[in-house]
Amino acid sequence: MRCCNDDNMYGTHGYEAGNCGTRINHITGNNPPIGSGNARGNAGNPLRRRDGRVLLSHGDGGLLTRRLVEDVFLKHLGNAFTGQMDDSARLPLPPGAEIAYTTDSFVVDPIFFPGGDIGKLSVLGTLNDLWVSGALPLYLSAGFIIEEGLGFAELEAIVRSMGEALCSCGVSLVAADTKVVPRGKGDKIYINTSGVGVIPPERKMQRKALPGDRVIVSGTIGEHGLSIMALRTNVDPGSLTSDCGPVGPAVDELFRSGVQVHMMRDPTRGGLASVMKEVAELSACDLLIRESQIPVRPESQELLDLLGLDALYLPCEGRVVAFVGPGPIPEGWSEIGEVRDGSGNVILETKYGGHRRLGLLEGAPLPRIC
Amino acid sequence: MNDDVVERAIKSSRDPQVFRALLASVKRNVGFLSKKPILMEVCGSHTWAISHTGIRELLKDEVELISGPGCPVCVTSPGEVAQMIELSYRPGVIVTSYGDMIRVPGRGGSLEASRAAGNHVEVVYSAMDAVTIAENNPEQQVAFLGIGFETTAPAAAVAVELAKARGLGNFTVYSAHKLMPPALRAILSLPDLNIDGLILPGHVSAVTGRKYFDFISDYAVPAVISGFEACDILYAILKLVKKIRARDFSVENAYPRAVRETGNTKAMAEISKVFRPSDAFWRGLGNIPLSGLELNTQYSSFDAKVRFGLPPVVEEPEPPGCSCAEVLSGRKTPRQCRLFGKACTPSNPVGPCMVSSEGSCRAHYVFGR
Ligand code: SF4
Repeated sequence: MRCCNDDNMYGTHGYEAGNCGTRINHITGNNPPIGSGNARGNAGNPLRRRDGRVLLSHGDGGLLTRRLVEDVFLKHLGNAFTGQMDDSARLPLPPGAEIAYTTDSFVVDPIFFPGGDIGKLSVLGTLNDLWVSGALPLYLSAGFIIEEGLGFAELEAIVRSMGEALCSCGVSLVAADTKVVPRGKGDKIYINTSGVGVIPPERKMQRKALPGDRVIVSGTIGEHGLSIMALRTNVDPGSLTSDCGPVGPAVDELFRSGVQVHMMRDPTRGGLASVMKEVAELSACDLLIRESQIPVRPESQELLDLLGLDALYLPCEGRVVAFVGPGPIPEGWSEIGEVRDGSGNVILETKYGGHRRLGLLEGAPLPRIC
Repeated sequence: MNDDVVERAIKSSRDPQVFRALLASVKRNVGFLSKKPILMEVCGSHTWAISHTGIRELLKDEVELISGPGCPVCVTSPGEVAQMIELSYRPGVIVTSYGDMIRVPGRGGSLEASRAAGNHVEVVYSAMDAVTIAENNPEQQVAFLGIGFETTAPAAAVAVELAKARGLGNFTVYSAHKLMPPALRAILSLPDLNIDGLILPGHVSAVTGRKYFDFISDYAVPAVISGFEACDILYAILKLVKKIRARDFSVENAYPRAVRETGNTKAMAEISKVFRPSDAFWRGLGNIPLSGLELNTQYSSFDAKVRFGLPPVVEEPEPPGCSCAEVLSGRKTPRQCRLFGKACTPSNPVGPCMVSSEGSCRAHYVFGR
């Protein structure tokens, strides 16, 4: 398999994160787990000759399942370490380490969007959750539910971008499973991923914002939700692409800067506003946010106006909002507001000096009709 | 107007400095009036923008801003909603709808509940998408729920013509489109009417032209067409305040970068080619003669009401306890509804004004303090 040549990002912490590339300890089909993965050598790929689509029988645990696993999944997600195909992965962890463990399911429609696809999203979505908890991601598992009829070219593109995302983050895929459901019982492909990471002592946070903290974000907001919405509404997204990406580098910089990080979140579903509301309630504080300081790309603003959407409620897939104490913040982060004594309100000062309350997202963001 | 001028106008319509100057001017001019003026907008996008920019709060001591029948989903009558839901239960029918509509509660539940019950309800973002669905599902009947005003009707008309040109025998429109002037006449004729000025909808006016609204001067209520940026809206409010003082009842265009005297004649021609005015029920205003649009005879095979043999729409009661009717006719503010924020929230809406982002209950709830 192809792979990048990064060093293990977290080598310095002394945790074995696998080398660049992915390690699969077990991959199962619809029913029985498949045994050893050494029956490759399939130059004239029979899968693709069968009209290039996933069939129900690719999920029955038999020969076709094995072919699917080998020709698509192992090809892009396996590596030199693959081989200990087993019913479960056995993972080394540093003694006494605090483990972070998270899971997420991805059902995005459309499955390909400018700047990414469901594969990349499913890897980074889970890794990002680990990073914002202060963890260094180590291992990932993935479960695929594929609707009969999905094209192999599409499936392979998705799996390939998972491999690339894992690779660039130095994380190993250690377990995976595939099921195929009859046409109409699913929507092309659903992916669930779970991730495990280790929280180093210097990254332990109190997981609460404190009065006096500053609210900072790691980049421009709204691009992921907006590019998906543009596709769904048949509006040309122009140069806009999803922000789908790893938050690891921005988080690393933040910790390196020495500023006291009290809490972090990644504003995915529900957007920045919903996440801030959750933090305000959890911390029993008020947040005062200044609209004029929230970074939004000009090309996003144009689309937002056209569709009548609010960037604050659109999901980001590569951004972090952090609540930090005094001290200089790294480049790329913007200060957008502050934490005050209070009782869980988020108050936005509009760029015109008015105020409005921000609540949780209620109902999906929809373009206005008129 | 050339593009440069428009560009500059748009930029300055978002300039916080321009905004502050306009705000100060509105406040100063209100000082010359004998009472706090009540201004009504009749456009869902205005409802939203007035709350979203904070204008409602910044002017709370000077101007009372209320919403009229301008939210497409909200003005759709309970009888129409019931028929839409009923249609979705017919076997072999795919109902296609703008997203907000599917959450509106009505007799028989809602389209969302119908979808959960296994019926085929698809959210679309334009009438064209519905035509595409019809093409891709030749075995099924595809009914598009046409709601909205002079703004959305042209697109529905184009979709009907396209379906006709492509010979799609399985595409129909359930027309619940509404026309703005008859509703405004109805509002302005209410005996208990208590408004001092009208903020007219910029999008509708861009289609219809300014002249379309000249009849308002007969009612001795000043009216100004407004755009949607913060400064556009303040500018329109400023003009209204001055007109109230001067007792100037002409209809003024404060959104010239998008609105002309005669509007978009092509779009208006589309409407009258495919549709003709018909009596229609409005939530809050009841039956208003010739205030809706139905398909012309030569397009009647694309009329869902004809295709599915639907009976004429009748008056249906509002959801119990819901004051949407009063809210939509400016007789109550959202907060005066006793369900507001208690039994009725955006997650659990009782009436359409809490469903739609253009609804005033939702705007007051989401942006209220
Ligand atoms: S608050 Fe709810 S119940 Fe009351 S008028 Fe508004 S939508 Fe209807």
